[in-house]
Amino acid sequence: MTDECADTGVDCSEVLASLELYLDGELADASAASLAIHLGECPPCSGRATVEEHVRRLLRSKCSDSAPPALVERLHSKLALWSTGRPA
Amino acid sequence: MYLRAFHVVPLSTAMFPAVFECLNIQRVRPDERPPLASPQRKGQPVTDDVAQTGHGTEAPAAEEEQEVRVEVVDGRQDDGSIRRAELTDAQRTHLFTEQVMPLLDPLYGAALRYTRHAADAEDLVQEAMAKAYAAFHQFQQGTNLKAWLYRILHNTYINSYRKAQRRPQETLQDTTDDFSLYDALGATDPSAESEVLARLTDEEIRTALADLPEPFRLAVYYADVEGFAYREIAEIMGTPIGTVMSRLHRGRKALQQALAGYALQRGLIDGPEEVNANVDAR
Repeated sequence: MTDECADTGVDCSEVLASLELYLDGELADASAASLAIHLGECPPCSGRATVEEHVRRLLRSKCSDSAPPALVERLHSKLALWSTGRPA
Repeated sequence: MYLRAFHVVPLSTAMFPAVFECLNIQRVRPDERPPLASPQRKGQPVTDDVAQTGHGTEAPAAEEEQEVRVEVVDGRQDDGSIRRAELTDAQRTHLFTEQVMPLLDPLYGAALRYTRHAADAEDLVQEAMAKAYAAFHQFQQGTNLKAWLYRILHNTYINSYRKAQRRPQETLQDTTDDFSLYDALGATDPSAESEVLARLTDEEIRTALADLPEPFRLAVYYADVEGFAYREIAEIMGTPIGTVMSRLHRGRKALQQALAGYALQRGLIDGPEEVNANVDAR
């Protein structure tokens, strides 16, 4: 896993150190491109990336919430008050 | 540089300290990249105030992308932010209804991560909205409204809620840093990793996030649920980018450790002891 990849001659530990930045879209273009190439050639690194992405997808889909309708309604009423300059 | 004739601020800074802290989020420099999470782009100020100020040579570059244009009378500060003190109540309410109210769902979602209780989250959103409305004339149209609102939410929470709780700042165990969910899931079958994750319940995912200590929970929420860039999270939470990266890294590790714990409890993966036992048996 952190050994050097036989296929690519790249040190996987270096790749994994940048994986989080890469998945967050925070890596500079050139580094991102070479990391993407490595992921395409190295199953263990690509497996780790897949797990990381899967957890992010789960968080996005399970931890997005809707405001309760009563809150939305209350805020619309408050907004009417605020816009007339009366205290909230 | 600009005339300050329009810089009428109808608020007392003593009344709204949290709101005034938010001002620094407006100072988006032209060399900064556009936010990842927002379809809005930083761009030209919302209106052409050249006619009002007479400083035509200071007009912003026309080639800047522009998506939002609101025709109101403005004054501009030296840092380029707009003071829309001339907005009528009706205009302000109209803009607020159009731009801010559609963001109530994600704002409530964030508030839930701050307070962890639905009733407190509603109160937090309401208080933050009151402050956002009062300061809305200071928001620079075309910049990242969502980040501006989250900053207000964050400051409102810090000032009104966290102080009341008086809880010591929680932290994470150092051992968390070495955890690897990939390795934990691979204990059964490398190809079954996705299947194990897919069998975790919604409640387990939500609890794993909710159980993270506050700063880690918020960093993970802003990055992974809301999709904010590190720079934006740093602005919202008022911390250096390095702190955001560290909290994000450790928070994700701890969250994954919790997920592995649930998978282990429910027998979806083998524990370390069982793996060793299998190896010994061969």
